[in-house]
Amino acid sequence: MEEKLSFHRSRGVALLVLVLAAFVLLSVLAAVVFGVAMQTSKIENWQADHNDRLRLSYLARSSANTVIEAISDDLASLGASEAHPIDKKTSVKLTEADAVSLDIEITGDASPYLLVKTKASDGKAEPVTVTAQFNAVTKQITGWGGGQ
Amino acid sequence: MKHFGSLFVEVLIAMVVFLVGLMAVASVLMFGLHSVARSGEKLKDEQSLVNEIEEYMASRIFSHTNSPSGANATCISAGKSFDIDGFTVNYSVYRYILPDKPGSRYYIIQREL
Repeated sequence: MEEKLSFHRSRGVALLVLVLAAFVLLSVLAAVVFGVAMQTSKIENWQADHNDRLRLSYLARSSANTVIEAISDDLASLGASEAHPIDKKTSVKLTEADAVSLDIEITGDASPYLLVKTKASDGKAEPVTVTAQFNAVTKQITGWGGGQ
Repeated sequence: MKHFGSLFVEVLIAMVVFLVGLMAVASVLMFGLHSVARSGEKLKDEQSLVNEIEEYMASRIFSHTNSPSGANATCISAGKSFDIDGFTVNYSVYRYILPDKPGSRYYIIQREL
């Protein structure tokens, strides 16, 4: 009789255990999915920031090289000499390239070095500055600085 | 009043609810895993695009002659110039972009004669 009463009181325990186990299982799975999603999101954010900086870096580096190619072909027009070191600057807005602004500066006396410094900025990511040292005698780039 | 089989029906309903939940979580999990796998593929594509630009940059610095080439590179603006206190530089703007990922776009400028 007692056993029967005990069984009677325990009715529904199996269902309760089943529901609780299911709840725990679903919670664990949801936590795993959430963890994976958060990690992916973190990586995506890092990559987006990295891409913005890389975009600016390529523009800064290629513009420094563009200026150096022009200097290399026509050094005389620059008017730099040991007696007259130069410090020329300009700003260029590249509307077609996500409105990136380039600040370009040429300094030095070409005896034998000139320094070309370019800064690329888009108002969102941190600006990227690149410097290139150019040997006016050998007409070669002897050093790069800055970048990402 | 006795309800024969009521426990069985309850368990059945609980199992249906559980299975629906499990299927929903499984589909979310599959979607997440698929997204991660696809993200890996895109990352590889992006890295190869970056390598393409790096190769161009390295060779351009030495040769001064080559131009961006390949399916991902396009000249978006030509015949432009800027002036640095009387020193004129002519240039073109090129864009490297992955067709299925517009966020991965890079620009370079190249000197033109």
